[in-house]
Amino acid sequence: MMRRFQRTIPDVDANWATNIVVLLLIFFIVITSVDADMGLERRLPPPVGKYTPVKVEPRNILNVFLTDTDELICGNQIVGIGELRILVKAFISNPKNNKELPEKEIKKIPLLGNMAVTSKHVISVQCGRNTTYQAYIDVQNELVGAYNELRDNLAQKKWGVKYVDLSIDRQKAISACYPMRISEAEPQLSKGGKK
Amino acid sequence: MKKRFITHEKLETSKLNAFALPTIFLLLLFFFVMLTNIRKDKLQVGAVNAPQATELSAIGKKAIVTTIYIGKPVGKLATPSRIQLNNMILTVAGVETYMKKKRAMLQPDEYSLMTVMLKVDKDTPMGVVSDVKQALRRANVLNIIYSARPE
Repeated sequence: MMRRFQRTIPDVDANWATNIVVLLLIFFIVITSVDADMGLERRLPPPVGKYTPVKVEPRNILNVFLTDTDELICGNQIVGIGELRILVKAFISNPKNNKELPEKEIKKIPLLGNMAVTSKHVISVQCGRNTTYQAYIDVQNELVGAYNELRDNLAQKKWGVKYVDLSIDRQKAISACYPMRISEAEPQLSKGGKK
Repeated sequence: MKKRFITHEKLETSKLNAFALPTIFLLLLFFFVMLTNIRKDKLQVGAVNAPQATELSAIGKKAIVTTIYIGKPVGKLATPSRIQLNNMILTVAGVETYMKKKRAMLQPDEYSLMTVMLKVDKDTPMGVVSDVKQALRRANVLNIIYSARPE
């Protein structure tokens, strides 16, 4: 009598699975949008009527105005977008305690001790109704950039690292030194603009 | 006896082992599935080209995000609207009522997490954008993000 040999187990044909998975893979690669949701964060003022407008001293306000033709007016003069960051940095930090620039207040900040902070400054951004969005975002970007640079400088001075690399407690301390105070005012009615 | 030995050897000549391949592809597949966020709403307003900026921050993970698109005006209506919210083309007043409704559905401790992502075309006049912003203010939804592309 012939003895049956024990056969080796046949290979499972895995090609079909590979093909399907590859197809799915390609599908998802195509569908994936890598653009992570990034942007400039802002906080709007509370609804009208729920708060009383605070009076701000003139030295504490920096008016930034964008005209309908995308011209930038900072304070009283026309400036280029490249100059804005320097002006804003000087305004926020007021290094020489200039009488024209925002007043400083000594504040006790955890981890840092007593710091002179321009806690009452306000940067007011206004624009016409026909200002383009790109110009507005450029201005907002420069403002955020100015704050980020000041915070980075302080972080480098105190701990020798960049602001983003600090622990959360330290980040809070640094941002308390340079509080972001940008006002989102309503647009002004301008000539030629439609209501 | 000899014959048997030969057949055995024939079976031993194995194919290239492809078992690992599906696994690798599956891993890649999962990776891309995780990465993908399927856009539920199709863009109905005109093209939205995000403006460029450098100082961007990512959106918070816990945020309850509503996306508002403002593109180029479309439609044959007398007053073309260019604001889109969840597959609907809305007016400024419509945005306000929608956000108020959405806010009413949430728990009070979730109010501060509500965030509106504004995806606005870079050539839009600011008048439209500020109208939307004022509507959001009236609806008491105060966190906004101006969507932008890194340069």
